[in-house]
Amino acid sequence: MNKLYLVCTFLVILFVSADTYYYDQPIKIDYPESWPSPTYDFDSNPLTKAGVDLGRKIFYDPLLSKDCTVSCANCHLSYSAFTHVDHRLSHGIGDSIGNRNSLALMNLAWNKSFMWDGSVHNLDMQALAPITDPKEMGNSLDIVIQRLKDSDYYSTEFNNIFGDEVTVPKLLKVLAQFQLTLISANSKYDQVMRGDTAFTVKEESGYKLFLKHCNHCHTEPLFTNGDFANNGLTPDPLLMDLGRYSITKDPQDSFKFRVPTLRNISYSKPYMHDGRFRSLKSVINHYTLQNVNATTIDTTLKMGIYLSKKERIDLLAFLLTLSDKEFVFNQEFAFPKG
Amino acid sequence: MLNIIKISILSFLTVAFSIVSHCQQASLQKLQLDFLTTYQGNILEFTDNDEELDILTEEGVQLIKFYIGNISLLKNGKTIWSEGKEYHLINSEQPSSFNVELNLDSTFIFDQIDFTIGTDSITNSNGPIEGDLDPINGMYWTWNNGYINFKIEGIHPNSSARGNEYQYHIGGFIHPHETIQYKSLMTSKYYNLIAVELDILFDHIDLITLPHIMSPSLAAKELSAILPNLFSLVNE
Repeated sequence: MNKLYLVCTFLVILFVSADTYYYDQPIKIDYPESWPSPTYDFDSNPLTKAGVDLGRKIFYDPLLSKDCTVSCANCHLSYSAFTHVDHRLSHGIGDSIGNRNSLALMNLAWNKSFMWDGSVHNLDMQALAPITDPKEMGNSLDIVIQRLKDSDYYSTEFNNIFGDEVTVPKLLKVLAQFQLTLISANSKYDQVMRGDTAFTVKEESGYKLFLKHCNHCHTEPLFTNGDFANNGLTPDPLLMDLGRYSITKDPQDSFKFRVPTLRNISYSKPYMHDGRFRSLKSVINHYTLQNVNATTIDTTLKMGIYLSKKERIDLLAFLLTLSDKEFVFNQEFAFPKG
Repeated sequence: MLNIIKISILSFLTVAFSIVSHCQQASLQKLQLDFLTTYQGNILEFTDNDEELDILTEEGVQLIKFYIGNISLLKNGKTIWSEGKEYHLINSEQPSSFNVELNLDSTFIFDQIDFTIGTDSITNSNGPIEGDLDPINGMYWTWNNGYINFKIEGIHPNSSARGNEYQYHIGGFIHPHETIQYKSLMTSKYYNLIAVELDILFDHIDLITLPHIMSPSLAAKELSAILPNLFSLVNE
């Protein structure tokens, strides 16, 4: 009887410890040593296994939207590098069409700002925009919080993680925790940089062209300089999207949009802030064939980029090396099962 | 016998400690800032009854919310105490918020109270914050991260907007649209009744040409410069 009592006590202790460990287990994001340090302040929102798991569940849960039909994953699908594949402009509840193409989500800990116009400065605050935008999830924060409170599962998890009931800040933090784990760093390009493999002749040629013509804005290793630029797109007369100007009101920022990462570019079509280009060929043609005449166009594009047909093919070959299959098919990022 | 002595000593120490603690508590000072909004000669009456939240006051004001923060005590122009980067939301939907009480850990002799009207740039750039700065309070621009420092909404016969509505969401922290303002009150009192005179605000608003301000802008910045003038001591 004493032995049975000891065994039961041991099992209870083990169970409680495992439970405590799960909620306290810290997570550190893994990235190449050659990368710069992240800009995100992890001290303000330390990642834990439980926090990341909860954030992932909520990311895929349409209860965030007014009519419970749209989740974050609707516009940020894991298999298309967390963007809204094949949609020029994202759509939200009631099939309402938004004004912009959804940005791919990866390596967010290095972002200096978020959204095409840089309106969001802190990843933790980004989710407020889609949750409340009438053309996205169309909801109000108090309804979202009440739904989470009404759910036994969510209210218990928030209490276990934070020792308190769910609030908007806590919701935002767990969503950010999940998104911060979306690290893409194992494309063929990365493997070449590590010395694990080599570019083909075409890819090598394309890489040299990239460094000469594209790296100024799409700076490696993140393939974005995190800045805003006017790349000479003719404004869509129906959208008349002024880009960064709508935030800063500085005329010099007219028609400037954030420079997106080119990582996983093969998965994230269509391209540009309004999704006007359906193929990478169209993107390259835009930069190389058109004479661009815009007042605020980036200085590196003022004279145009002239590439031969062969060079355009080589550049495309290089861009395809930025695809990270491991990232887009990682089941840890996909719809949570169970 | 020894046990009785031990228990007696322990009881005495417990009682003595409680008395000392209570005395210390009683000697703590409480700084109170009690805000009172006035318009057209009337004190605005607000309710926290959910069913009456959408009802206008007699003067046509539906909603007023603003942040004050970084409350500091000064003597001869030098800061002798400050609460630091703490912010309080004065919210007409929660009338109790009009009374800001701070427990001071010491007694101070001061001649000035300073506070900000609005939030600083670092707070605006930070991640989500609980309490009065929680985005659920409706004072955070979801589409353009940053706090609304002063919000007032209502109906005025001069407003050219639909339904004679007006909405002024004054905020912004990125140059050149900074809207944080600073107020000094010359007072040595721990209890201060502070009037927020909306007539002064409306004297500087053209409801015909500008019935709305809904984003950071130069117009918001210009209007924010008037805000310190709204605040004055009633119990001088």
